[in-house]
Amino acid sequence: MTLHPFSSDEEAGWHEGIRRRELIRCSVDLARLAENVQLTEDFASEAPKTLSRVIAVTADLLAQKLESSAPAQDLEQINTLLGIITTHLRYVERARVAQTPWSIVSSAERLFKLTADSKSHFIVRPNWTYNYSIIGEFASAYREFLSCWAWFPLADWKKDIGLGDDESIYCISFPRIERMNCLLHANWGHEVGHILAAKWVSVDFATAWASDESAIKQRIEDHVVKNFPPVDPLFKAMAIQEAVAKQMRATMEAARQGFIELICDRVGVHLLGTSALAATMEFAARFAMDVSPLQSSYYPPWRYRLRMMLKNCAPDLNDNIGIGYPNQEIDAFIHWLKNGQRLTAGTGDLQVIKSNVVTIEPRKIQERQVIPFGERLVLHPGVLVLACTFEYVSIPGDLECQVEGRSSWARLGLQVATATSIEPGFKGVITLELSNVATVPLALMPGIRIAQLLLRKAEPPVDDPYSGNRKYRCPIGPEFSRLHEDYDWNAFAPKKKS
Amino acid sequence: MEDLGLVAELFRTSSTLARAAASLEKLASGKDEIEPTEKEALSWSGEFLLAVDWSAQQQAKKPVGGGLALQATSVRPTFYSCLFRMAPQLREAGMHDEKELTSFLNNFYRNLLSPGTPGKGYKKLTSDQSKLGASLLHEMAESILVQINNNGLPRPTATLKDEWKPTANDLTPILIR
Repeated sequence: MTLHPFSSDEEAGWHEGIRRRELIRCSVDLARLAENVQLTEDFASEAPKTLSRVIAVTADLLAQKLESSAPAQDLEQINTLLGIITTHLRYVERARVAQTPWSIVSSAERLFKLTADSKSHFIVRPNWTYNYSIIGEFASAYREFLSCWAWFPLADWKKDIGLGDDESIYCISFPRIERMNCLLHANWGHEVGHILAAKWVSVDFATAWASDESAIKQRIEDHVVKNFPPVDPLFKAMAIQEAVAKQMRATMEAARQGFIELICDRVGVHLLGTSALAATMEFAARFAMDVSPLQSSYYPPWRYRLRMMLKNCAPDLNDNIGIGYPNQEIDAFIHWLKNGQRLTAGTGDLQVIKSNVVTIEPRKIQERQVIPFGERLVLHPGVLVLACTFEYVSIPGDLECQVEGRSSWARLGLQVATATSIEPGFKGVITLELSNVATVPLALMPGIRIAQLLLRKAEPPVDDPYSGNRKYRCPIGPEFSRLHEDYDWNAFAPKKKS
Repeated sequence: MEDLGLVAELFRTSSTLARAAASLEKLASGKDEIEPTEKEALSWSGEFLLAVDWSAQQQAKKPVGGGLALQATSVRPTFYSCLFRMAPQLREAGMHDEKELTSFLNNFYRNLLSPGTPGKGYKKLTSDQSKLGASLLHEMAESILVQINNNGLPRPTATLKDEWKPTANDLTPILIR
């Protein structure tokens, strides 16, 4: 008997058949496992069961569709998705009461809901590794994954998982072994910050990156081109472009991750004050202080982060001067925290950052934010932003000015300046202290008229205007406060106890 | 945070590129009729590749904004690596210098944007060119999946460390594999 070899179509069909069968079995198993998890009464809250229900429904519908309509071209994607969601079932498993201290779960959940979003579900999961982390958001990610395929019954899926479009699921991990210091759990404040930072990153970071990208690319390209070896003529310029592209991706990741971690540290301090600083210091003590972001998953060096947190905690750390804390233990704690000031007086972190073009650029982005014309800045309630006028003014010696808001904006809650007076002789752009005193966010567009200048005759005219120890000379951008340069600041600030 | 939103974005990119590759193969095999969703995948892939490929971007002179700029930045190294891996196929198709390659790619992107009618100054892709383009889209779709299939989370650091070793304020050039 003569054997006819497979045609290429037949061989492809043979591969597909086996692959499909394997994926169906995998989905059915996963759906069954996830359903079993839901049946157990082994969880301290409903959140783990919610995620396992999402997993079960997803896997079940995938199995059904693999039997009928999922096309061959999508099998590789389905395989990847099954790999991803199988891991998620492990997060649920880890949240069983046998693994989790009961006492922690409900109070932790309450804290997360209060600070992040009351419609979120939080799986609180102990980790064997000594780390705090947050993973999410599951529901919207699953929606995004599954909406890639026209053949997937998304409406059925939405109905079966029983979650509203505004409900979300996160998994927060903490070290199972608490060591000696339960205060470490103040690191949770930072993790909750990730939820807020993710919202920011999805909109504002994209804008910041798009506006700076071409300038960053130019600088990185100059750096790369300098000593590039001869290459294949088919890819002469592209070889350089690939090298630049890799640097750009690393730069973007370092900028994004850097931003996120710094925002989260800030949120941690905002929620839990100096406890967050203490927890971070204790946690960071395990690591080297000056590791480059390129060697640590793009995280900024610990020394850098602690310096920023100390800055944010400054009011709390200084409050004990004069008014005093209620007891000696807290005083000792504050004193211990102040060790951080010596720790962050070192500059190894800044040297590491400056030593590589990939880590210099993110720092430049982090230091300033330019909103281009045609785009907008969303000013949230209770937030103060220093901005500047488009106009560069030069006030003569016989005029004094006042910055006033416009009533149309004031009715929406915008305050443009609280220190409104501009002295005769001032030159420069005017720094505006923008704040939103209403309860809903305000969108501001560069170039739009938000303020007005009132000019008054100065009688008699000033002979030598804006001279002497003036702090803000000829600014071309918004200027931070230089209160510390005032003579009275030094004269009246509380003296350190010897 | 291990942000699943970013993973989902990459997943969608990979999925759309795979769908576009399949549609292109369909066109290459002589079927002129494609479904609206396939057409959508092709034109999205065209827009996306124009944003990713810097040489094409210069020609298009069209700024890339917001989310697409981020996505393009994270996928761009993968795009160039895919082209390098496809060097034998590209040579076989008669491309021997970069000018020829760039011109093929530009023509390819225009065809993706409007299949069959690429516009003034561009030619309709031949069947072989469509197959070559489909291979590029397949390569990219798979490479992006590889990027995310580690626990569903992207892992660009490993390749960065392996392929690019920065020294003190200087960069050791990489070699093409």
